Amino acid sequence: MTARAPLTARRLAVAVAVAFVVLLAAVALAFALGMPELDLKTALDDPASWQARALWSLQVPRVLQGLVAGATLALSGAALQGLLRNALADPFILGVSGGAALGSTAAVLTGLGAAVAAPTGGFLGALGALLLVTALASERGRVAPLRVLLVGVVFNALAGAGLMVLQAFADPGALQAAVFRLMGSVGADPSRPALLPILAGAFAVGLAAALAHARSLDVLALGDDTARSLGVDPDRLRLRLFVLLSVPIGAVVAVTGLIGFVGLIVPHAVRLALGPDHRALLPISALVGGAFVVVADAVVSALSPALGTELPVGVLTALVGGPLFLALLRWRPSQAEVAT
Amino acid sequence: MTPAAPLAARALSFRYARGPLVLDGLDVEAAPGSVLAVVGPNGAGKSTLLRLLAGLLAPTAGDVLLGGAPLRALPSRERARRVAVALAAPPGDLGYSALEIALMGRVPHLGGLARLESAADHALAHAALSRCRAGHLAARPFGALSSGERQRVLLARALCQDAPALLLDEPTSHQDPAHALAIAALCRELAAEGRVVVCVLHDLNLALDAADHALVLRADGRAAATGPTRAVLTPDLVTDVYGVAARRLRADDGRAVLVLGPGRGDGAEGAP
Repeated sequence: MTARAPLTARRLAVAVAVAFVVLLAAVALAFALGMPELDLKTALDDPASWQARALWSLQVPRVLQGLVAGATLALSGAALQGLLRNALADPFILGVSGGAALGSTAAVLTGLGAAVAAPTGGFLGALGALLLVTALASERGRVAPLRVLLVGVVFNALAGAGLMVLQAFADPGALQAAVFRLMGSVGADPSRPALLPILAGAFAVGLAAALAHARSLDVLALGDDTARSLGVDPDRLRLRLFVLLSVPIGAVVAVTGLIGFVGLIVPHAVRLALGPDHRALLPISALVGGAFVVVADAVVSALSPALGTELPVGVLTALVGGPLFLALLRWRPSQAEVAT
Repeated sequence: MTPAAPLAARALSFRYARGPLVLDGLDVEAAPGSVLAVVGPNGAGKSTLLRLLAGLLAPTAGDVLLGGAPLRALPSRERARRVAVALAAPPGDLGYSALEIALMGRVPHLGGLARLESAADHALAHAALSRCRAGHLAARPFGALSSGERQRVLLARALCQDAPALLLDEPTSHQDPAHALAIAALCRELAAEGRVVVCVLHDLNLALDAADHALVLRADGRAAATGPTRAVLTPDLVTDVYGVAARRLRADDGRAVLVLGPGRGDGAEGAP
């Protein structure tokens, strides 16, 4: 690892500016690639055209949903890694996304029709999963790094079984929608325009909470006792961020399904470039995470004519993230050291 | 640095949930300007005592007082500006450099939210690393350091907190003799600056070297003796507390040194 100066205001400002440019480039790419049949010029010139309707009711919400989903997952991954002192933590790997999927599907299939039902169910599922998984992985008051991953895997399997039970009892129409939603797709549902503002609001909650506690997350690396001696209460911090991050995770999973590994890939890349200081890591991960999912989604939609079908974007992120996870586990085991 | 105040404990007892008493009725007095060594066998509760003195644990009975007022009554941030404690760090490596670790000591002095450290904070962190003989490690990843180097960086982290009371948990346990002596000298320097320094130590000769006062704990968590180091750390007491033979010899330069073992000795002074 190369020598790196600690974070300064100047470095932080440059990093945020660069990440914004990356995000804007990703959005531009998404509009260029994402909907091959759409002619942007016509859509913008003639508001009455089908092109304009497709742009505003499909493509724009899709890009925005991808952006918020990626930002939420990357932000949550970075924060969870700090909270659990475990560089392999990620909402998907820990079973939090699985819990959110179960919660939101239960809320929808039980016939709660309101737009907030799915995100609320997702929130409860995510929070329940986080509390359960960390409690089960705790040894003498601390979360054991490798055990939490194992518990997450098992919890994911259980959540998957729960989903299948729910689906077995669902009527075919609702079932198809639920299954499709869970595959991990950021495509917007034009019949539910309320979801996008809900997503954005939920993300704002998570972002504000995470940024407010960025420096406390750094201090947690020193251990719970030292954190306490510096005026940071680790138990309260964990509980607070578990709750407030479950808000956007629950909403994102409810709307876009299971998009895995974004919370693993993006914070790792950002840490390599900028170091682990959460005051930079959290906002930059959010921006880069948004860009990552927007680009991944543009790639799957650009590939769809050639493939004859559209792959869920979660397939692409898993194809990138899965091998990365295995590589980290194999070559950087110290990042998930077994507690001694 | 806020002005130093004495750190004291009165009739301090502690048990972990439903367990037996770890510490039993201790009186501790750590004054500004002097080094207090806490010694005793493994499991006697030395680290627990340090955590109680740092306000990290709530006493089962008795009180910890800073300048006469209960330490636990202070808001945690205020307490963090007055008492710093150097403990071992857990495993796990998110890639912080040694300098970034040291800078975390500035957290209780930072403004709210995501405020960044100033150039003065950076200078303090570099100075703290240098004082702990870790200046050359500043840019190195903390996770890649040896255990001794890591220990010195964590000590620098506590120094960087610039608190008038410093509590050190076995700061020399991973150090080679030269670094152990340097840390002992640093403890005396910090006390000479007017700070309260409390240091858990295993090396009795280092305690003789570094500390003005000593508190000796027995395996059952009671105090065996407390007072000026030279008066307390006698061969008799060492034999009594640790169950090993001990002699006091005079080194060439006139300093008294304790020589331990083998077997259970009679504690005779100056034996051949």
